[in-house]
Formats: sequence, structure tokens, C-alpha cells
Amino acid sequence: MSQSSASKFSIKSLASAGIFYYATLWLIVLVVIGTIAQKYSGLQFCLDKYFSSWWIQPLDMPFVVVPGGRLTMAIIMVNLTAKLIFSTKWKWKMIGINITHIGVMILMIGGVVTAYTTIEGNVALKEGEQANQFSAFHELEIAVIDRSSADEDKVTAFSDGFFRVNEPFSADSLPLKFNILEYYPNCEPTARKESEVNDKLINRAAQNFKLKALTHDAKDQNLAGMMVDISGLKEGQNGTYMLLNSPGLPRISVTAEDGKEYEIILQRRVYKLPFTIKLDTFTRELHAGTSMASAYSSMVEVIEGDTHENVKIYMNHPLRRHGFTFYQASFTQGERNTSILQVVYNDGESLPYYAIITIALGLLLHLVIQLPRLIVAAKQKA
Amino acid sequence: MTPSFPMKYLAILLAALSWLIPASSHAYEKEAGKLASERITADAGELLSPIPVLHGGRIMPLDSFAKVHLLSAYHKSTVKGEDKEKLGYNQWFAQLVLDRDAAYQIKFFRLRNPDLIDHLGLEERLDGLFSLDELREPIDSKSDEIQIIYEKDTDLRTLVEKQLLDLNNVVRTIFAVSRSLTALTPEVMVMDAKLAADMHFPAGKAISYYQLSEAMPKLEPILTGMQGKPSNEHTDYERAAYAVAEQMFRMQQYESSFQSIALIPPAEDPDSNPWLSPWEAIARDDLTETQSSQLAQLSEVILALSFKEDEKAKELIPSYIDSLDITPNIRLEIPETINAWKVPGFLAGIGFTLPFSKNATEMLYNHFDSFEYSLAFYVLGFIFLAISWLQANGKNLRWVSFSWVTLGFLLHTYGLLLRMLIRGRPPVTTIYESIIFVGFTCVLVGLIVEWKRRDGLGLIVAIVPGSILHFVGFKYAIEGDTLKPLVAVLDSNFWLATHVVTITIGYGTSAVAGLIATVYLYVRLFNQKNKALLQSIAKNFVGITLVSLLFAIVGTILGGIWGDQSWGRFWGWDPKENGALLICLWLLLIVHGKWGKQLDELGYATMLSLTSITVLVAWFGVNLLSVGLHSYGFTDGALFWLTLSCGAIAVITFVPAILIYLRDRANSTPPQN
Repeated sequence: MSQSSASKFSIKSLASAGIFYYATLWLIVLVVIGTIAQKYSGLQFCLDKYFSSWWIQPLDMPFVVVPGGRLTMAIIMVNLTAKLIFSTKWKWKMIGINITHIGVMILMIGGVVTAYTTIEGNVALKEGEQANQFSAFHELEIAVIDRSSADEDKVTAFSDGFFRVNEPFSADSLPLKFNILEYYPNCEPTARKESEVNDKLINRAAQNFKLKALTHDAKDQNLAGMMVDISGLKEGQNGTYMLLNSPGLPRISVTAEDGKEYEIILQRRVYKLPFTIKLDTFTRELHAGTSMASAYSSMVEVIEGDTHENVKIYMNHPLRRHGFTFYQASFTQGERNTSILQVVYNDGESLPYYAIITIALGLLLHLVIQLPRLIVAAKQKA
Repeated sequence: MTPSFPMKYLAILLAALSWLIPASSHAYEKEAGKLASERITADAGELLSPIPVLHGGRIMPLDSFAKVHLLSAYHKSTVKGEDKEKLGYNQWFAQLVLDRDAAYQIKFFRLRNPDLIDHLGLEERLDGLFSLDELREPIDSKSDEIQIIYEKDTDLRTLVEKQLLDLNNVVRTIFAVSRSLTALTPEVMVMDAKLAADMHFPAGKAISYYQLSEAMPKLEPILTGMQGKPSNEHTDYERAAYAVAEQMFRMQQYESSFQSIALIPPAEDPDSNPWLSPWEAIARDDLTETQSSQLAQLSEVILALSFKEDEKAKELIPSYIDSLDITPNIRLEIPETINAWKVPGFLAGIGFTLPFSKNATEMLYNHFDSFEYSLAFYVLGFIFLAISWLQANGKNLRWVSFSWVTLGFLLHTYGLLLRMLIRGRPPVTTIYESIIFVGFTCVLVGLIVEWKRRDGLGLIVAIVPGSILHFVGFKYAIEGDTLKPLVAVLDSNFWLATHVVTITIGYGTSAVAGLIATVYLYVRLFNQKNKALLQSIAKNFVGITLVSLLFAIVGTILGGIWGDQSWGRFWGWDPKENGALLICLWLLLIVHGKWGKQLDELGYATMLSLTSITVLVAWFGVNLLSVGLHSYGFTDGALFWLTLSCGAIAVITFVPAILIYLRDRANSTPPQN
């Protein structure tokens, strides 16, 4: 390597092919490790640890960090941007290569937009039921529900950004104060010993059980739980409560100092939809004479103000409306069938479509230009 | 057509009579003293084979039904009978259903693991072959153990336990198949000649359950008449009638649960409604007139074959198949997705029916194993290529080799096309088909390279993966029906034709690129003086790498788009997605390493030669993790073969690469500095 380029940093050196080479090599390592680890820790955990992370602590060693998937891809993206700006030769011979790189840029921008705007969740509807909201898969919230109004429940929700131990939080509209003592993304309630019971533990779950932290479940079947101090309640109710993200458990009902009643639950974060969706029927067809499904479909009604529209959602044919996409994901059959629709919101959804057209076009052009030169016979020896 | 007699009523009637007649005669006895093979003719199997049956969710000819079942037990499609003669799968099937007791003595269960044979308390045999009669008792004696294994977690089962479970399934399945036509085969002798005549039964012949049930209205008054009388007043005529009824009842009790061959189509929509087995059809009281007549015709067919009346069967079978009225011919249609794109209206809904029947095409596919012949020609091509290397000028022999490989390739293509026609699907829908198709891609690319170069390089890269993949394909094919219907999420010809085909071509071209790089390494090791040859090979692998990159990247992104269309996220770092990404990243790394000069030609060739490892890992490896949306097609022992193959590729690559590196270093003068 020559002396001049090593000693002097210029912004153009961000375009160096070497950066891409070593970043890609590192990404390959991450992909391999992050894939194998899925067998043991579950997909979501590995996604967070290896691919969506800026830094990784290998084997949880203290003070040791290596670049995570997000940082590595950010480096590649900076490298690609610099390459496009500084070192691209805009020549005919290079047109295919250049178009391809622009396509990859579009793809990566799509990745960034997706990473920061996606909401993934689902909504389960029995036949005849309707909904104007859905629950996110990977986000939680503490919902405080005021059922005193006859027409509508008033819900105040604290998303998982608040879930920090010993950092009390509240909301202006609520007389209650929360202070989380323990929080586990995955845990298991274990019986409390007699000696561990005290007056501060208020709800029955907290009195009988304590939480034992678990590692991430390999099949992503996690039970999130917390011990939380709630204050601002009437005499005798202030103290520690146990909240678990499990729909089957009894809800916690409390009365505030001012006499207002609230229900408190730990649940998957709820997002509102700008329209209502109603399930008319769910159908499951089988391959003749087997119990193997050949098709699933939901007939739904999309209700927006006065307009009703009938839409069939089935495999590979989702419903798209106002940036939300509904997919046929699962079902339970019974007296009334329940259809489970996956809901995704993603601002970057269209970019891969443009990217693939650009990349395919670029590579094809390059091949047309290059291939005749590359697939040739050996020159005869003289 | 008389409605079938309600069996419940018969049961009550017999229960009422049974105490009157303590001992009954033994009419249900197989024709004694006759040799097994004498009961049906040698053509019975072929005659039965075109009859349609619903199995595993699709309509297939009995030809396929027979083949799938024999493969499941024997892992080959031709058995050696007791007399060491060959028994094709159709004739095996005919014996199994029409001459059961003989078939139960044929050794067609192949037990590969001596530990399993030992575990069953059987005597070890060189060929590991056992008959159903030999296995029935040992397996029955293990029923408690089998129940425990069933309840065990799949990962915790030992090899012997897994194999015992599989064997249990296969033995029970085939036993059930063998008894599924017992309603139609002649089983009961009516001893009293007058009774037989009154019932219009053919004299001196055994009668089937179906025939008896049709004659029930005539038998019933006789039985009712016996009820009021003490047993010593029963006439011989009445006793015979009673005996017949009792045999019927017993058969109904013991045999009617065997319903493994669904032969009678439903009243409507035979493609998506369940079909009826003979026992089921007889028990139903809501058969349509068409169904009743189909059942009657089927009964005639089975009786004709059971009595060796082949000429009669030859006439009956075509009209029986006609009466089923299932859409027999192959129809090609423009996929719905293309219609949805509002491509010019005249294209929408275009479809036409080909002049050959689907089932006949499937039988053609079953009987002419084009992939086996294709493999034979590839091997032949290899032999000629190898001889050509021994000669100073092997040009003519290379042409011969080229011709053999081309012929093999045509057969390969023919087999693929037949499969596409039968299924009405793009070429790749299962892991088995991906194996066939990757082989196809490799041979195609190899032949193109050979056409350009004419020095044998293209032939090597065609023959090696082409042959190996055929072998791997055979391993998959013996596991049963390779034309099974697809799970719901894959039911999209558009995405199968785009994403799946593209990524599979990517696998193939990547493998070819890797192989050319491997060849380069060996040429450079042994023939480093021939710079022109080395350079031209290097150009080839750069070219093929670009082609692979195109297919791998486009295929991977298309997969993402399918994911977006189908379950709502473009990319989820699912193992299969990561596998495809791995190939893309690896190829990108190599290509950019060359441009950025991180890799010299040796480094490039070495890394490229390792590409096949990433392909194998992406293709098979991720299934071993058995997580994620794509985890299909897992087979036991796959990990061993995968590790072995990857290890072999690494050794084949690194040995010449290191030797070349060491030699170059020794030869080069130290750099001036």
C-alpha cells in the first residue's frame, strides 16, 4: 500500500472497495451465527441481537463489543453512497454495474425505512365480529382503562419505552403513579415462601408468586411479567402488583384516591386502524380425502364511514388499505370460526419492487455487455 | 339397483338368532389346496393399473398408488417373488388385494438396520427382506412400546425407535390396503345349491360381500322366518342362509374398517371432495344412482380379475373408467395472477386441453424412468470423456461424449416436462424437484460452455453435478409419492414460476461456477505453463459468477416480495432467507474482492470453488435447523451427508490451492523494498 493514501484520510476513502469487502465478510459471519442461534434462542431474539443491533456483546462478555448487523449494513450503505458519489465512472461500459448499484441503494433505503416504520401485529376476529384496532407482536404496553363512561372506555397506555426499573412514570390525565421494580421479557411465576409475603404485596398473584427470569424462548413463546408499585390509590391499595402479559389472567381493578375505578393490564401494544374491518366468514378447504389444507380464506367487510366493501383475503392475496396490509395468517375452528389476520404497516413496502427491477435490469445489461467476452474458448496453443 | 341392506338391522337379527343355533357351518374359507400365484393371471396388475383412485389429496391411477406403496416398503419398484421371478409393482399390488394370503408371504419389507431386526426378535438376513406374515406377530407384540414411542418427543426417539415407528406405519398401511377390496373380492361359498340358485349366484363360485348385500332382500325373509322356530326344526336351506348371513356379519365386523383405497368418486366435484372406498360405499345409504352403478361395475371388474377372466375385464375396465367422468385430460391455463395484472384481455382465461389424459401421462412417467436413463447417458458421456483424455487428440471422442450428455439432457428435460404437465405446475415445487432442476440447470450451462469451448471443461461441469444430483434425487424419490399436492401457502404458480425457479437456477449456476473454479485450481496445479488455458477458464468462471449473481440476487429479492405478498414482511432473517442471502453475499464478496484487489486469481478461484458449500448450506442446511417458515423436506441422516459433502468440497479446494500457493511463494523472488 502506498504511503500517501494510508496517512491522509479523505472522505473519498469511504468509497473504498476494501470497506465493502471486509464489512461483507463480517456480515457473512453474522448471518451464519445469527441463523444457527435461532435454533436455540428463537427468531425474534436473534433478530434483535444479531441483525437489528448496532453492537453485539459476544457471549455477554463485559466491555467487549463487535459491530452488529445494523451497524455493518450502515457501513455498507455509507460505503455505497460514497462510491456512487465519488468513484462511479459514468461510462457506457459500466452502465449495467452502475444501475445495479443504484438498485442496491434503493433496496437498502427500503430496509432502513422498513426498520424504522414497520408495525407488525394481528387481529383475531370471530365470524360476525369487527375491529378497528390490532395488537402488535413485539411491543407491550401497560393499559389503564377507565370504564366509567357509558359510550366509550378511556384508555391510557404506557408503551414499553417506559419499562425501566425505578424510573417512575405517570400521565397528566391519571391520578396514578407507576414505579417498576422488576421487569422480565420472559419469566415464570414461582411460588413465594411464607416468609417472603409482606403487606406491600397487593394483588393475589403478587402475594402467591414471585417472578423468575427466563432466557428467551426458542419458539418465541415468551411470558413477559413485571412487579410494579402503583400509588395514588385509595387506602390499602397502594403497593406492589404483579402484571403478566397473559390474556387468561384476572384483570387488576383499582380505585384511585378520587374514587375513580380503573383496570390495569399488561398487554400487547394496541394500534388504531383508520377504518373498521368485519369478518363475515372464514373458510378452510382441504385436499380431497385428507386433513391437509389446500386453501384458507376470509370474507371481510371494510367499513369506512358509510362505505362498505366486501373483500376476500386469502393466501398470497392480502388486503391493502391506507398503508396497512392484512394477511390470512391463522385460524381456529369452532361453532363460530375465528380468523387471525396478520396486520403490517410499512412505509418502505414498495421500494423492494423498484429495487428488483433496477437490479435485474442492471445485471442483465452488464451480462449482455460482458458475457460474450467471458464465455470463450481457450486460445489454441501456438 | 337395490339399496344396500342396513347392516345394523342384520346385526340385531343375528343377535336374536345366535342362541338358537349354537354351531354354524364354515362357509368363509379360502379355496384350499391351490397355489397362490394360480389365483390371478399375470396381466391382472396391468389391467387394474389405469383405474383412478384418490390418494394423498390427489387423483392418481392405481399404477401410481401401487408404486408409492411398494416403494414405501421395498424402496424399489420391482419385487422378487418367492420363485425369484420379478414382480412389477402393479402385479404385486394385484396379488396384494386379490390374492392376499399369497402376497403376505412375499418378502417385500426391507429392514436396513440389523439392530431393528434384532429388536423385533427376527433372524438376521443378508438382504434384510421380510414378508408381512413374518412381521405381523413381532410388530403386534411391540404395540405397547410403539405407543410409548408415539408419545415421545420426536427429538428424543432413538434411531431404532424411529425405524420401528416407520415400519409399524408401513406394515399397517399395506395390510389395510390389502384388505380394502375385501368387500368386492369373492370370499364366501354358498354351500346350498338351491339357495345359491334362488339368490341368482353363479354356481360353484365364491361370492363377494357386495353381491351378498345386493341379495339381502331375498335372504332376509328366510332369516325372519327362522326366528319363530326352535333350532331343531330349521331346514338345511335355512341353516345355509343363516351361515351366509353370519359370514357377512363377521366380514362386516372385521373388514369394513379397511378403507384405504378410495375408488368411487363423490357425487360432485371429484377434485376437491373425498372419494369412497368400496366398504364405505356399501355402507352408505345415500349413494347416487351413478355411484351405485359405478360400484356395481367396479364389483364386476374385481370379480372378473379374481376368476381370471381377463378378456371380460378388458372390456369392463374402460367403460368403468368412462363412467367415473373425471376430467381426464391435461389442461393448460394462463395463471390467475397474469389475468389480475390486466394483461390484454384476450389473454385472460385462455386455456386449452391437450389430447392426452392426465392419468395416462402419469403412468407413462411411472413406467419410463427418464431420470434413470438420463443418468445412464451422463455416465456413458463421462466414460467417453475420460477415454478422450488418454488420447493425444480426443476431439472425436469428446463429440461422442457430448452427444451422450445431450441425449441424457433431453431425457432429463422430458422427465421434467412430464412432471410439469401432470401437476400443472412450474418445474420446482418440492425439494425433490429442486434437486432434479438444479441438475438440469448444471447440465444446460455445462453444455453451453462446452459448445463454446469444445475442450471438455463444459462436459465435466455438466456430468459431475448432473449425475450426483440424479443419485440424490433417487434417494428422495423412494420415499413415496413425488407428485403430492402442495400446502396452501405454496399454491401460487406465479411465485413458484418466478421466485422458486430463479433461485433454483441460482443454485445451479453457482454450483457450476464453483466447479469451474475447482477445475481451474487443478489445471493450475498440474499444467501451470498453459497460461492461455488458465486465463480462458478464469474468464469463464468470472462470467458464470455474474450469471449466478443475477439469479441469486433476483431470486432472493423475489422471495422477499413473495414474503411481503404472502405473510406480510419482506425480510425476516428466517433461516432459508439467510441461506439465500449467504449465497448472494458470498458471490458479492468474491466479485468485489476481485475488483478491489483483495483477491488475486488464486484467491478468487479458491473462494469461488467453495461456493458450492454455501449452496448446499442454503439448500439443505437450513432445513436441519427445523425452524422458520421454510423448514420442509427434512430427512434423517441429512446432516451426515451435508457435512461430508461440505468437507469434501473444502478438501478438494484447499489441497490444490495451498499447494499452488506454496509453490508460487517458493518460486517468486522476495519483493524488493
